[in-house]
Amino acid sequence: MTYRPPANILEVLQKIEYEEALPAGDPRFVETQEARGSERTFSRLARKFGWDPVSDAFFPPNEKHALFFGHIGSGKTTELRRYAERLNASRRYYVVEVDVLLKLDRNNLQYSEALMAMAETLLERLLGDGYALDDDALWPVREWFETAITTRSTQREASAEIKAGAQAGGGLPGLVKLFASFTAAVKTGASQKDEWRQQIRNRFTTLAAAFSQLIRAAEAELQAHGRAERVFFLVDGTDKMRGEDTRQFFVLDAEQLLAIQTLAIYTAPLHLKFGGLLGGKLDADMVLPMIKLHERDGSRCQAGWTALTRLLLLRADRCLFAADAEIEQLAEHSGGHPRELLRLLRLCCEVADDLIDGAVVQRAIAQLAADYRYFLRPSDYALLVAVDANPAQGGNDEAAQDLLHRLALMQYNDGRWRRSHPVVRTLEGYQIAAAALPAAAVEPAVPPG
Amino acid sequence: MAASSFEIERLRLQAAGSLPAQCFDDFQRLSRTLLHGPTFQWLLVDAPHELLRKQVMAALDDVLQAAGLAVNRLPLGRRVADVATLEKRLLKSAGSAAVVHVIGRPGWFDAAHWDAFNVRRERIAAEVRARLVFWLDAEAIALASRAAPDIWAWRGGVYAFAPLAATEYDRMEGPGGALPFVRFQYRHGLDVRSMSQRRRRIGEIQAWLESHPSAPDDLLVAPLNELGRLLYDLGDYDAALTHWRERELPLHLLRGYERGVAVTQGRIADVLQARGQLDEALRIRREEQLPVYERLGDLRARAVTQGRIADVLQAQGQLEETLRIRLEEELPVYERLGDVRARALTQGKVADVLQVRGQLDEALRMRRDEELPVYERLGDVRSVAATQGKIADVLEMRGQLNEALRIRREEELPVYERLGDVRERAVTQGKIADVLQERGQLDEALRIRREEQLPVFERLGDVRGQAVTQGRIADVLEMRGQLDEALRIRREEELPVYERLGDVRERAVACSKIALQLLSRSDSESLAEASKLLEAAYADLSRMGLPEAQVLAEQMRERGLIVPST
Repeated sequence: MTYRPPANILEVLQKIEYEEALPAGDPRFVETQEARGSERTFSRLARKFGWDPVSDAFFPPNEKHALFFGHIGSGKTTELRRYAERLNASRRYYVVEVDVLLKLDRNNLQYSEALMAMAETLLERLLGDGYALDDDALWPVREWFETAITTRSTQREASAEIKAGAQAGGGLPGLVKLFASFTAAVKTGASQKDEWRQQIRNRFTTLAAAFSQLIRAAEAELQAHGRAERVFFLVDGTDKMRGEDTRQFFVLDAEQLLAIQTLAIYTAPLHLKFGGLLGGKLDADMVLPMIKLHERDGSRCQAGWTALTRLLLLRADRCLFAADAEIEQLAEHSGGHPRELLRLLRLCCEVADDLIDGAVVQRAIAQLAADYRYFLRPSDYALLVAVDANPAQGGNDEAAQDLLHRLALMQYNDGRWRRSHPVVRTLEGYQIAAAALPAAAVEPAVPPG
Repeated sequence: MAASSFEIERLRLQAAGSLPAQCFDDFQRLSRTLLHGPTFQWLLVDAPHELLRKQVMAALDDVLQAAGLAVNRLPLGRRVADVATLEKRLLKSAGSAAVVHVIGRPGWFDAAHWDAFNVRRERIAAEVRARLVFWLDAEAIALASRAAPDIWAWRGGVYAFAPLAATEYDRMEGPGGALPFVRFQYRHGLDVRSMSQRRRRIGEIQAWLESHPSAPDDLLVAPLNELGRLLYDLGDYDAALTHWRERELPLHLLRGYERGVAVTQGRIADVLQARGQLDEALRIRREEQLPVYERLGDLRARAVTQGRIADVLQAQGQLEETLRIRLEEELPVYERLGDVRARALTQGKVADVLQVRGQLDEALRMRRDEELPVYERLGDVRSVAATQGKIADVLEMRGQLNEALRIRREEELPVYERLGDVRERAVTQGKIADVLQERGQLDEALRIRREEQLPVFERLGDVRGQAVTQGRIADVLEMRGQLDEALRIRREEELPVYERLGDVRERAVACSKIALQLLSRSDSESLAEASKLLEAAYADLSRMGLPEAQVLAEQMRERGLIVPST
């Protein structure tokens, strides 16, 4: 059945949910690669992992762990799901999507649990898709678990769940149960988690080898069925870990991730890229840029307007807008950020009677701006004005990273230039800071979006 | 069974209309998103005032229940010690309700708790399928955005319910207020009823009083008290004065309730003081109120009354006596009572006097070293902002215009914006315009007065604020040479308001400005009118004993006019 966007204000409101990324195949998905100025993002990503989508040439590296950066709510998960679809369709890769937030407790998450979740999800997928691995292939991982349980049993009673998992029988189903019991145990008990972490840390080399061997065996099975040549992990949710855990995971424990011989991409918070902490261990090139409404020189980027207009009109029928000018206003004040556009649309739905007209849009813009007023300080306004005056700079100090993280500052073209959020520019604090800026410091004016 | 859509919409409108006017828009938004938004939502409500929060919540619950949406409340009391417990309680509450009100208490959501909540949010979203409404204050909301930006990005919406009445109350009681010629906020608890509710209540009380002419005296105390308060709040000063003089005062006298008599006399004096009837106000304070509080041994009430007397004396330029009262009658009492806030307020008033006497360094020291740290310690952001404003006043007097401007824009304005205090924001804008005017930036000053200040006072229905702003606009026009338009504004927009309010001082000042402008004309009619206005203004200012009388006399002498003897 053909998808029709809701034509009633209340229905639009009912269907706006920020916390859910669009699943693959969702009719509301809008292709934004051109609009983001990142037409080559997918092919760059594919090539990093050894496949050229144009020529279908394929030569994958032995292992590759890459990060995928982007603003909060800028569409990383939605975009990655599209990439996963294409990579799967290539039959070169068997993409295993791992949502660490669903599998694990994000509070105090470390590489040890993430790796176990990756293994568990791989085994679940294989089992679900009807593949079987022989016991020889599964043995190293099972052996690692058995030794760990024995060691723990000599120290203290191992958890009932893990014991039950260990007795769950052989084959793929047995191992899936064992992993599931592990994730359940570490999710519920802090002391269990600490002890297992210790186990994993002490015997990590063995586990890494066993996990890598398991992946190789899975790839052999997939190749034998002509399904794919390599396993590809798409790890989502790692951009949402808390500050200290983010640093621990991507910086201090990066070596442990790299020890797993596989192909993997992890979502990562944008501020990590510019914090200067990564030290070149993980591949940190890929950024999902914002949708551009204007180029760096201020000229209009039509692809951006088209994409945002489509995005909006897939959420709310055209008949709900008084004129095209309202659609344009909303797109412009989103700064090219899809979630901010949805937020503006939601605000319109909260205040409109049955039509989104100019007055409704102005109220929505003012309301969204008011949200930013909660945390912006005078020094923030001054920094935003300075960046707007010279978008190529803006620095990577803590203040700028902080503003990027909270969307008051937006980044375009893989980070080559930045601009403040358009709604922030409507605030008096910004205007005062702008008035205080010496005229000489201001570059030729660029349009607001 | 849920009511029909039409009925729910009617209820929603009715509920919004029952709230104080400033809550209308956000109530409409919040109720709509709860009724029609997705099953899971995380909404933040900035509602720092408990009474108003309860009122909004009750109105909301009526609508939600009519729509068949069950509601649970989850207060963050002592039993919810951490976020893990909160998560469990949320899960439990959402099991039996579509909407869960999480009622925060100040300080519960610190950075660590936000962080802990943030790491659980996906799981909460997956497992708690309900609309979660977090009732917090601005500080907790700001902290969410700072401590956990990704949870901030996840918010469904932010809604604010700030009590305007509280704003006025705080302002008048705070360091920025308590001048003798502004309206005294009636010192009672916060009344969050809408204007229409208050009018209705007046009708109810009057009807009840009429239908119970022989009700026992004890039963009359409460309704009469409330009626006077309502009349005053609605700006009907004449009716309030009549009520206090003819109904309430005789009742207290009849019952022999001495304190009630003194308190009611104080209210009468407040109105007289605001209207410029200073001698009578002073007489009441000294002869009717002070002896009663002395007899009753009520130290605080005595000190507060002394403070009111000092306010009048200060306005009349009797600075030595003002200072003596502040230092000898007020401060020691608050010190003895351990009331650090009242002590800081009084020190601020001492600084006011020093400022008027030109002792700017000492005034500045007191504000910075004595007053400000107390408000900061108390976490009273409004008083901190108001004191910063006073510091800016001193700097302005010392000619440090840039620093004064910086303080107004960076220390004062953002606080009022965050508090949603549109009136104080407008007042601060006005002070910014004063500086710009002084620097000769007349166009910008004019723009602020017309576009930032005036619409706010109009929206608030503050006729006095409008008239004062119109007067300032006329000042600028005069400086730009637009004399006719300035004159028209003073005559048509400013003066009639002061006459209506009975504000003698402002009327006299406006009249003197009109007269001085008329003097620049050469026709005899204008000169005659000017002379008449100046004489009347001088008489009013002299009668009130205000120092402005001397300034006016000087201006008259400079123009060769005879200053009438009073």
